Amino acid sequence: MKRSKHKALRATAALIAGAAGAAMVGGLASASPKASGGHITLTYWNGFTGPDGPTVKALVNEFNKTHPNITIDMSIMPWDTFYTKLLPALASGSGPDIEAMDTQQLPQYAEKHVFLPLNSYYQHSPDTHALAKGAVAATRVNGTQYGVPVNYAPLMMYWNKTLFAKAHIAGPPKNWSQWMSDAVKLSHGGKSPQYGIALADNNTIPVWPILLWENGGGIVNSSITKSVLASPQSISAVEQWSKLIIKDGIAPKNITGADADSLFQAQKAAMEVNGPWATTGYTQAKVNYGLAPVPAGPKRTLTLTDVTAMSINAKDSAAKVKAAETFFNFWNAKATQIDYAVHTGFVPTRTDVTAAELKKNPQVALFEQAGHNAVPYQLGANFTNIDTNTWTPAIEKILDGAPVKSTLESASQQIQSYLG
Amino acid sequence: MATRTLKSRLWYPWATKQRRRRTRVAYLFMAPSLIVLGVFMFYPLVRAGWLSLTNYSFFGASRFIGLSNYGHLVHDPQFWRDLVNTLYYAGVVTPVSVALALGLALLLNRKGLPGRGLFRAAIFLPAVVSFAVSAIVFRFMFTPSIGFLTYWLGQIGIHVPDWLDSVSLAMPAVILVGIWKNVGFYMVIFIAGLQTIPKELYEAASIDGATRWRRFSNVTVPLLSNTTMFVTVIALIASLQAFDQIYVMTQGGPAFSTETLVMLIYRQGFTNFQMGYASAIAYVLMAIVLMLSLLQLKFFSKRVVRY
Repeated sequence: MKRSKHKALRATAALIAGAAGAAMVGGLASASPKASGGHITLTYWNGFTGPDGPTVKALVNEFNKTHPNITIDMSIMPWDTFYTKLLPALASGSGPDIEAMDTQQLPQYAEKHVFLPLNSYYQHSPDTHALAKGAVAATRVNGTQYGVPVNYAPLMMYWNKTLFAKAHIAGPPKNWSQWMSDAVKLSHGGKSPQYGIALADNNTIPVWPILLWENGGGIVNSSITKSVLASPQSISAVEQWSKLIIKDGIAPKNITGADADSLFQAQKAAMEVNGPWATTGYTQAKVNYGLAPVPAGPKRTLTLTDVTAMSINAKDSAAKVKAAETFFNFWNAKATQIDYAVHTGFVPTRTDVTAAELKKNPQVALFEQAGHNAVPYQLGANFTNIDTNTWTPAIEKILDGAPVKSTLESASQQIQSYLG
Repeated sequence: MATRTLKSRLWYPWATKQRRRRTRVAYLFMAPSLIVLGVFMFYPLVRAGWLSLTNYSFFGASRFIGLSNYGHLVHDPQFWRDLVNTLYYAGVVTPVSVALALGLALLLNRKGLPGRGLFRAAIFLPAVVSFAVSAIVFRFMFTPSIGFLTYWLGQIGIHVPDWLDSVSLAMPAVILVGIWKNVGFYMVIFIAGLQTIPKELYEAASIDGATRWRRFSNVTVPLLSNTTMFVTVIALIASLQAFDQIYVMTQGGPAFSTETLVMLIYRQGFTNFQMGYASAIAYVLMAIVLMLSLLQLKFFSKRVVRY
């Protein structure tokens, strides 16, 4: 009896162990790369939820069709969801094989060693020499490449031709004095207020830094070692523009990028500084708009360029890395870039695409031209602390009436403490 | 005690066996709930307590740092700023929503009030709508120039300021949504409480010549004290944990003017990836909630009346 009981116990234990083992194997199988028979599936996360999303999907489908041994399994999600999920997912081993993110954010992740250094890819890949130098530089952190450009988006000024004509203004402003006076002329209160410009300061592509740069100031110096937010040039730029917003009502205070887009689309704002992704929406909304370079500042003529780059999960196997590099080559191939640029308005990541090849979308040439005076917004590994937690609240306080000089000086001290 | 147990076991061994069996069955029935509570409540609670004593940040080795996170918190101006914001939010939302819910319950508990059912349903409706959805609607209503409130009121000459973009008005805007969302739920609880008060007490008070105010203050308020205690405690807990509508409407801005402690926990944990520090703030918030709830229980338990 006792013997048979032990036997039964052993059998049960074996069954449980077997089931657990099977479950583990099953779990591992589902977690491990699908690389059976030489076929590789790569998960790819990004936040291309905007008008460029369908083009990205179509190009990924084309890659999957033309590369039978590789499947890109793409998940498109809102950017805030993306940034919330990415690091915990990478830490727990369930992160994507490839991800695309704004290069502003890249240093924070590179510092945590979650992405594979791509210096060797740049050395052996035949096509990387044709990539725009500015875009490639934006993916470099302390001399190491961590990304490959997905898109390259210099900002331009969108201006509403109908509202300009109503205000008897012939064309877009060329310099700051015209820009400021036009913004005042185009603003009025009343039952249906109108703003000269929709100038977002939070949850947006950075626009205020352009104003600081063009006046000879900035947030940090070029080597990201020193805060320059309290420099006379930075203070002067913020004083001039905040005065126009608070006293002359040229723009609503403290708005998000989405609010600014809504105002321009609803023709309640006559100007907006934005990237090429906005062209599709404004065209569909039948806004009669034009594109012009950001007006020249007193000290410099400069705009911001937004670069999104793809990176590879540092834990990926050699086979997966090779497959990811094949996808990068496809993405930055000339034909793909022409297709992407023509359908989305983004500037090609390559410099060897001619104007004739882009003639189907004349706006691309305008953005390409704007890119000649464009720099990326780089704050290093302290991006969130400097931009989101210090600079943005400072400008919000100023627009709410706080004194410019002392607010910027206090923010500058805070930024310096992050830079060390 | 031990002697008594031994005695009962000796005298009634069958009773002990039966009791044991009953206990086993009771635990079996409780097991599903206990497992869920254990996995989703107690384990995270203990784990967060441990994390608050470490410098865990998703990556790199996690190190035990004792009470350093709590020490850092005491000197962190962000914590004090967000504690003030949280107390401001809870200090307005809790009394206003409880008082408003009580008033509405008294009004809608009257028999013969035309459209009573419709009003009850309309006021309760926000309680069943997701907080995030409500917040999206309100955000749209407050959008400058093209929002529902800002645009249409502007058309009749009333200029509504940009509430969500103003450091001083953003908090009142999220408070408004907090009250609107919860008042219906608290009202239903008050109506249920009002319906348990025997009519005879009101009749007796009327015969004694009590005015409407005296009937309210001497009959309704004391007999509703248990319900009031319950509503006030859950209202305060919900207010101290405000997150959803703030995250959707303002993301804690402008200039952190609407950032509450739960928003700070989220920001430290999921934006700055300082999970150890975020856990320490969570534990302090839990201590605050516990302390205030106990104070409320003490305050109300002295005022409970039974006739």
